[in-house]
Amino acid sequence: MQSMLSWLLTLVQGGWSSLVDYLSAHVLMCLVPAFFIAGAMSALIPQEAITKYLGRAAKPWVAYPAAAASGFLLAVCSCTILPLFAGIWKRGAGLGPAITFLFVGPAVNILALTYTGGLIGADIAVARAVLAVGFGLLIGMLMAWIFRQEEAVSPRTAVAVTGPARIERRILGFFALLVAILLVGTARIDVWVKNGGIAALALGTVATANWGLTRHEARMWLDETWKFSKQIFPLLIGGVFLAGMVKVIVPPELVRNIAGSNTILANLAGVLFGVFMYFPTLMEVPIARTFLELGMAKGPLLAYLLADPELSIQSILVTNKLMGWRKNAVYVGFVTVLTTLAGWIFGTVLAVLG
Amino acid sequence: MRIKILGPGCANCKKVEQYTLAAVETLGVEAEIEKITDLTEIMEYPIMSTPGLVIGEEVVCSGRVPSKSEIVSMIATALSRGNA
Repeated sequence: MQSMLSWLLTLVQGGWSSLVDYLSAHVLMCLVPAFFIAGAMSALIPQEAITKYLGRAAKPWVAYPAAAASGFLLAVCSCTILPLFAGIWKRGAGLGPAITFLFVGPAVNILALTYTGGLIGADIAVARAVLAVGFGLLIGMLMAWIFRQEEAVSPRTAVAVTGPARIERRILGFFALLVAILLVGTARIDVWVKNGGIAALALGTVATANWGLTRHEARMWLDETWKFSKQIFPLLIGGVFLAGMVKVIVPPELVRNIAGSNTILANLAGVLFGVFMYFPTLMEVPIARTFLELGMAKGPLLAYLLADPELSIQSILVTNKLMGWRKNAVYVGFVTVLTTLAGWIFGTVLAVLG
Repeated sequence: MRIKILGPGCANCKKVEQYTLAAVETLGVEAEIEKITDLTEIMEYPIMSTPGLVIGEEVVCSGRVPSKSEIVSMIATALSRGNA
């Protein structure tokens, strides 16, 4: 009883100390602007501005990059991912670009990128984005090619365009201000210059929101930002706490033995761990940092980061329902093999450069 | 008049519903508002992304949350066209 209690206490202490460690001023500097940007993306970018490039008549060299861009611009909230995936597939450019969007979204949205960059490092964040886009395109094209016959006959109707299908200049200017805050906030510059810069930019943002946006737009922006914060912040805190407990439970030798070096098997282990452990959005990031501290090599770490939001038992079941088991099995197979490969490539490149 | 709100039930779809209810009240028209949450059923309509707003079987807005005044004019247009 006594030892059980002290073990629990160690667990809680582990969680607490990682909260103090991980949620530093630097991480918050990344996250708070990111929430405002995410809110603005979801409130101020009409989806048709992007999805018009994803129509059924779109040429592949337009549709695939547009699908990847949608992953960045529109996939902020997981609740938009599945409807848009179904929309692109059934109503738009078809299975390939839809798969690209499905794969790219969770890894390259603004929250995932800034959180990865702030907590683990810019190198991993950039690698995550680049490899997610590259392999997303590859997997989409492979899927489209394999199922080209049945996809060719499936009936599709054109989409009605009903609203403003472009992003206005004033909105772009507003985004530029928000992104500038994020960049200044995370730049390694003198603290006074930084604070002054942020204050000036924040004032500019408030002024623009007040005079440059309509009331409806400004309200939507704040609503969305608040909604994301409410939805995601508890997950962030929970994830960091959990990661701290993982650090107490999992012996470093175990991690080093399984994934301490950049082998194919180690990368596969990273991927499979991502599949069987279901962590909600963004929880994978602090978990990954814990693994890094426990001695995981960067290749398998990246493989894990790529696979975890893409594949979990839960998401496999949902895509299974939408796509049918054959397409789903092929998709899951590709993701497993190719994310393993992606991690391995990243690890190899790092070894060559280092 | 029949109005349908297409969306799996995320916050945006709820907002469209709320604005639509308010718009209907402002105009004082009789309307039957239906929520379509099933993804396959949603995909029966020519929209690429949710939330979608359908008035009299015509998609008037999709992929964004329209403001209340926009919805008012959408309903008014549908009425004047006899498309309800």
